[in-house]
Amino acid sequence: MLPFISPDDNFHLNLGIVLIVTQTLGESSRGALKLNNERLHIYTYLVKNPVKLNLFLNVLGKGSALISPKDAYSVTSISSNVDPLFDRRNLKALITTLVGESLISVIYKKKDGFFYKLSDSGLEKANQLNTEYFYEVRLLCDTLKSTLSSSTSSLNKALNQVMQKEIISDGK
Amino acid sequence: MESSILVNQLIVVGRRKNYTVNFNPGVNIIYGDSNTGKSTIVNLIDYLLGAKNFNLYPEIDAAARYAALDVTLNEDRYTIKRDLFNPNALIEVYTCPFDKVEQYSCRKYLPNFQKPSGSDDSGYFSDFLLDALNLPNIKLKESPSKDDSKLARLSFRDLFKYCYVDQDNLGDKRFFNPENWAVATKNKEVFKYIFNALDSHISEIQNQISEKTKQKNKLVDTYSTVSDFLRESEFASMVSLDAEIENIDSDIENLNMQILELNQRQIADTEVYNTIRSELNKISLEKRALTLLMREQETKIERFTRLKNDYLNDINKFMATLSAMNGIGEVNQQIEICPVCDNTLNVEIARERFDVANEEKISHEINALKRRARETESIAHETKRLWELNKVKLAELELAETNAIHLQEMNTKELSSPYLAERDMYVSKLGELQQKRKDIVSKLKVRNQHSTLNKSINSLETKITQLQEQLAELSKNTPSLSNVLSDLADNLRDYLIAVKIKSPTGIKFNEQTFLPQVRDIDYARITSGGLRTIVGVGYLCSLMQEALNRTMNFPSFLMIDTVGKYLGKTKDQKYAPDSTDTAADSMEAVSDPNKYQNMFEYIIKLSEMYENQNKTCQFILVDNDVPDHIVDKLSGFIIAHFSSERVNGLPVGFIDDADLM
Repeated sequence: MLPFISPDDNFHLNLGIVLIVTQTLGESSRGALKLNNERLHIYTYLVKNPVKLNLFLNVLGKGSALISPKDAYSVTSISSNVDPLFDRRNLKALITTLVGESLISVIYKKKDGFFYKLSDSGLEKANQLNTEYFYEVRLLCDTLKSTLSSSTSSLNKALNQVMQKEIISDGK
Repeated sequence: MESSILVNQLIVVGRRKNYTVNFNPGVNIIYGDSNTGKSTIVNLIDYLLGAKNFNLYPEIDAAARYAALDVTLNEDRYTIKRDLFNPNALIEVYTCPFDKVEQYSCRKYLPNFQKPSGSDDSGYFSDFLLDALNLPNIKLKESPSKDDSKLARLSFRDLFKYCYVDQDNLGDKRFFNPENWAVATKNKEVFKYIFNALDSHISEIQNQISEKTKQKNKLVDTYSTVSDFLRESEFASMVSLDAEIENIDSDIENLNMQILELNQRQIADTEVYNTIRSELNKISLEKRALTLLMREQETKIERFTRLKNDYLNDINKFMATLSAMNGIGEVNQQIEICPVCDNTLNVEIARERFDVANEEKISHEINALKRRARETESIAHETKRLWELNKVKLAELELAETNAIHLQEMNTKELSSPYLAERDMYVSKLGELQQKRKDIVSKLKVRNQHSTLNKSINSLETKITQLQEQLAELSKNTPSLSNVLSDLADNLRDYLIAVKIKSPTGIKFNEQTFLPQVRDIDYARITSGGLRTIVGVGYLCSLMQEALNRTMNFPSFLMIDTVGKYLGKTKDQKYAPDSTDTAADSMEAVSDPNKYQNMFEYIIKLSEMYENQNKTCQFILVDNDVPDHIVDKLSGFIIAHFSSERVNGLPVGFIDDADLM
């Protein structure tokens, strides 16, 4: 065990983030269900790494997010941890917990598979998350709304490009 | 008629320096170990007086460029210059001492009769010498007894045989009596010539007078023409040319002084320049160190600022965690079963994968992070302050650098450029002056040549007068050869008695060969080589002595190489023992040092007789070593003394720096 605790790996923090992502990006403006495992995975990763999110939007040509200078100018921003992108077990554990607590509902759509949306109690709990950090997460999720209409494969492609850029610039 | 050769100085002009030997009128003695260049000296004199060739010694070969002889022929001073490596090259003659050669133009002469004269406007060197010595330039009959005999030119070299004996000929049986009949006949004719006893002598002298008068008239014409020309072209006079050269020389010296001074000043300026440069180096070094430090500080600031931001982000996340814990609350630890596939949905798995902390611990962490954020903030702040200070320092350094560079430019511009200009000015002036000097020197050559013409006219006049006197005397009483021979025999007897040889009787000259006899024995038949040496020297001395009393065609010059040959006193017995009969030598007691000393004393006495009569003569005597007991007496006459071991700091030889090459 490290002598300090890392906030990024905190259970409740991550539950809160998934709640907010599901709240903000669960449905399109016209009420269509959007959040399957893949999208949830991408969006959660991006809101936890705002610098990457910014690059992601740039690649997709969807403008850029307003990220705070604290995020941009930090040690985390110049290091990149891509492990969470290839490991979905953490996310599944979180979803299991939230489903078990009846905060997220799972809906099966014919042809498209399973989608997630907040339950009523989930919505209530999400609205209680009002600290500065969760506020920022909400803002970031808002900027991602424009990507809801893109296919998951195009999102994956964009994410790949962002990671490659990172690798290239690291290799400099 | 008196003729004289007086060698003043022998010069070998070398690549590094000149090698010189000075000579005096009267007796000159050169002695020293073998192989030290004694014979080189006399050989060189011989060569410069027209010898066919010169054996190059390795030292000369390595060090020398050419040789010159500063010599007075009768009354006139000449410098004779001859190539050492090509005996057929023209011999240059300047009518001045050696040190003035550059101001005079030279006449060039053919060294031998092989090429016809006049082909390139040059006469024969032999004719020049005979002329300068005012000796009749005649042709000798090859067969004196026949009226229609072929005539051969008399060369100065034929005459010079009586003035120079090298170390091989002295004491040799064939000395003056060669087995070659033609040469022997010629020698006899030359002997007659010396004593004006040739049948044709009177007519020869008449020819000579008319020839010389013709020459003189021609010269007078030339002289007056040249004088007119020089006057009309307003050519500067010799005096003014000399003064001008003197002025230019002092100007050149001044300029050289000024350039020297300028050089010294420039050295001082260089010191200033170096100081500035070292200061500049120091500044740039400091600047680099400071820049490096500042960059480190910048990195530090960046790192700590980033770290602070991370801490602040983490605080936010912990705050959010607290809020989420409140909002979401404790998670039930139950196991759900999937309604579709019957898999269990284990909530505990999530707890294993994530940190689950209590509120207290998180609050504690938040406080710790806040403290750390403050600390990093203050470190970054302090570093920023230091960086600002360094920035000021850097600005100061840059200012100092700019100043120093400016100063350096000033130094180069204000100090060097005028210095260069000044130097250029001096140097170009110096060049001008040197050119001007050259011009004047060449003008001076013209003037000198002109005055040489005058001199030649005067000397021709003297010669004509002398010839006329001689003619008068000869027509009054033609010398009879038997008188001459008997006088010579008297001289030889005086000499042999002075040398104290055993039984100096039967001394006379053979009427056929004109060679001496002692105890009625012909010179060539004397068995003792030592005695032959003594008699040979005596024979030549008797000629020298006779020239005091009688009108002779002989230049009162005698050069003997290895006077002590066969006298048993030389350290180095390099002569083949069969040349002399050692038994006869010991009979004659020739190795008695007194005899040797007597020979020298006789020669010295002879030169004193010349001095008393105000006449010029020169003896150049060479030997290996002079016995210690007579060195003191002779010391006043020694002009060169060499020691191969450099004993007592003596020069190692004529070429005294050969071992340094």
